[in-house]
Amino acid sequence: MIHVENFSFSYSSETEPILKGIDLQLKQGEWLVITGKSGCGKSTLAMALAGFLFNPPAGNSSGVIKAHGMFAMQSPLHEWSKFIYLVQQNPQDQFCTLNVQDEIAFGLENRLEMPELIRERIEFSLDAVQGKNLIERNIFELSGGEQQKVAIAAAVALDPRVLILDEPSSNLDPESTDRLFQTLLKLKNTIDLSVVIFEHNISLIKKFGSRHLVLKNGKLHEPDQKEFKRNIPNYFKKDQSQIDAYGSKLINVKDYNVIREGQEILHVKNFMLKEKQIVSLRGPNGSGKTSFLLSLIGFLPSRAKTRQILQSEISEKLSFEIRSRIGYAFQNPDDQIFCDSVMAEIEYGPINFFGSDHPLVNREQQLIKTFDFSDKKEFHPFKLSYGQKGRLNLAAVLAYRPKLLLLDEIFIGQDIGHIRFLLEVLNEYVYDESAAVLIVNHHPEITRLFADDFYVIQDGVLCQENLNADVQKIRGKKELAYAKE
Amino acid sequence: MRRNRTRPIQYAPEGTILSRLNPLTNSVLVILATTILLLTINPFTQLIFLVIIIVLFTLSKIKLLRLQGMRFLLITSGLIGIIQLFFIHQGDALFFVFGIAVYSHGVQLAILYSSRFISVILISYLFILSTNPNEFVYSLMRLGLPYRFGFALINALRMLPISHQEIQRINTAQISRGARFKLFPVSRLILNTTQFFKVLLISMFKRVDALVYSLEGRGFGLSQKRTFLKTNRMKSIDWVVILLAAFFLGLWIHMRVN
Repeated sequence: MIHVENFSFSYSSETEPILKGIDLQLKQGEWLVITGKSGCGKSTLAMALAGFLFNPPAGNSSGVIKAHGMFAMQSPLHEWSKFIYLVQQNPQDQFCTLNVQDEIAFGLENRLEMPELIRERIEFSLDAVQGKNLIERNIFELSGGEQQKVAIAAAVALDPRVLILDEPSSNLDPESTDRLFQTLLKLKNTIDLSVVIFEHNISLIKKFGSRHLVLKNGKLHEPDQKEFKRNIPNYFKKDQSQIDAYGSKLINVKDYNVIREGQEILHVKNFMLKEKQIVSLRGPNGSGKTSFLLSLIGFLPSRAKTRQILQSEISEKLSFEIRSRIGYAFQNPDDQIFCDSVMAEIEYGPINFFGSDHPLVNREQQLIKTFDFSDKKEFHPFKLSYGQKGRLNLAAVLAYRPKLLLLDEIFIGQDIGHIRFLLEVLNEYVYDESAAVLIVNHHPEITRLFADDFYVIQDGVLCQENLNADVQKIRGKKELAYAKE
Repeated sequence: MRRNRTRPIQYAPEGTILSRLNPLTNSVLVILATTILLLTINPFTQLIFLVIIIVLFTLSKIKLLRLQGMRFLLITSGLIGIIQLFFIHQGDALFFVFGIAVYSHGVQLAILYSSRFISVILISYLFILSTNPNEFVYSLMRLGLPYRFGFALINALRMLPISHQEIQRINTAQISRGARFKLFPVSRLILNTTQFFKVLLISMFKRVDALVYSLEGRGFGLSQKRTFLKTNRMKSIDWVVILLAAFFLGLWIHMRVN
């Protein structure tokens, strides 16, 4: 089906190849998951397999990628994608029309298919992704999971033999991810479609019984099971004295309503975050997690009986001094990179808040070392991988030593090792600075290992999750639940 | 949950009285109606047209005062009227306001220009609220607009809300990291603004990159022509409405000339 032999690739702007002699054989109807640390070249390999890197060439390549008697390097993209189709990381970016029906019809219309056949293919592909109910919907009304479904349906309608997905679960909640993988499994079984998934979420691999390869140092390897079996660091277990040491309230809201476009979209009965606490917040896509965070720093309006942040009233006019004590890491790292080098990016917050003479401005060296950017400190941040950019965002936020950290899905694009690293950094920071962290995430299996309190958003209401019994049980065990897999 | 009181000026699926018509019919109607409004010089006829337009909104169950920007529209229209009232000194002096005489011709022009301004804007609102932009562009392509231009338009429409959200996100991220968009020091303002646009541009380029792969991968632009799933054919009602509107315009021009 796909035959890759000794394939190497380096981007035009870099001397070191990112892929070094990749060998891969993919059979008809096979289900392959490729994992690897962030920045290891997964997206590059996905784009190479999809034929995106060659016409025009994005860099220097050697070796062979062959399928159906065609060579990726010599084939125009429209010919190659008849057999191998890539669903890109953000489905919204690849939509070409404004509604679901037009989107699925788009490729078929370009291939001059007749309306009768187009109608059949739309019905078939939407049925295959269990999305028949979406046919009349506007693209902008779709949730993250629904967007993935439509992107896959648009691909399936073109009848490719191999479907490649680049980190399909990165923006999805666990339920949507599960549904998506069920859909893919059904496709594989019904139309004998080969599926290649580039993914961080290792727990999905065993669950769906796929072949697994790891991309490491530019090559594909069989997975090393030992890497996934590490002990829980001891500091994740908190004893009573640590719990008693929680300090004053940094966030305190009661009967709190978040308002978006004049409408109350979220109700919070009671939410509290104290010094030295790490609190997890989860909820389905579109439930209002980000809106809650934005409202806390006054970027979205709110109404409440009590609404305090760092002992100040939450409002759209939070003082500059209060803002300097709040660190906010946004979901998409690309939206928060403002400088031309990694070092300047880390200095950006401290200079803005305190001026260039402040001692905090000289803290960047320490953060560069901690976050392992020593050999990249002069790099342009946009040259970093998605995961590296995410870590740089956190470093840039920690640089001005905020008292309160509001972190929006910072685990997206991070492999297990780096998630562990981020947790270690946060845990240490919370104790050193008597700070607190509110972390929005889709990883209950991870957060229940380190968070002190758990909140969930369901049906427009933010409430406390009763996980304590569960948490104590899990924390008592030595191995990470997800690592066992 | 409390409902938003303002209705944005954008196509809504529930539509208006014109929504059942083909988008092309709607566009022809808007052009004809605007021509008639601009040709009308009798202030009272202009007022009648305004009333008809308000009736169309009422029949479409749209509360005019809840439309986005209505306050601005009314204020601007009022100002246009006031300028006519106080600066046109022709005809008979009717009354005095703050010692300034208001003349009969001034009143007539105030009614004419104010109501014309409101009518033209409202008729374009009605078109936007009634017409699915996607269907409109598809109809134009079916009519002969080269499909590459058509899809350029569709993607511009698609990118608008995305770039709006992107602007908000980047701005929020920048402010949360201490950036201040104050006039002084000017060098800081220039730096912050440059950084903002740089992030926005890079982000949009990335989106365009993804879109290009998607377009090319799905064979866009490969042939001179393409097939269309949707026929978007004109129905008899469309032709009847267009003919009636054209007849009305012809009659109107005839009456104006003679």
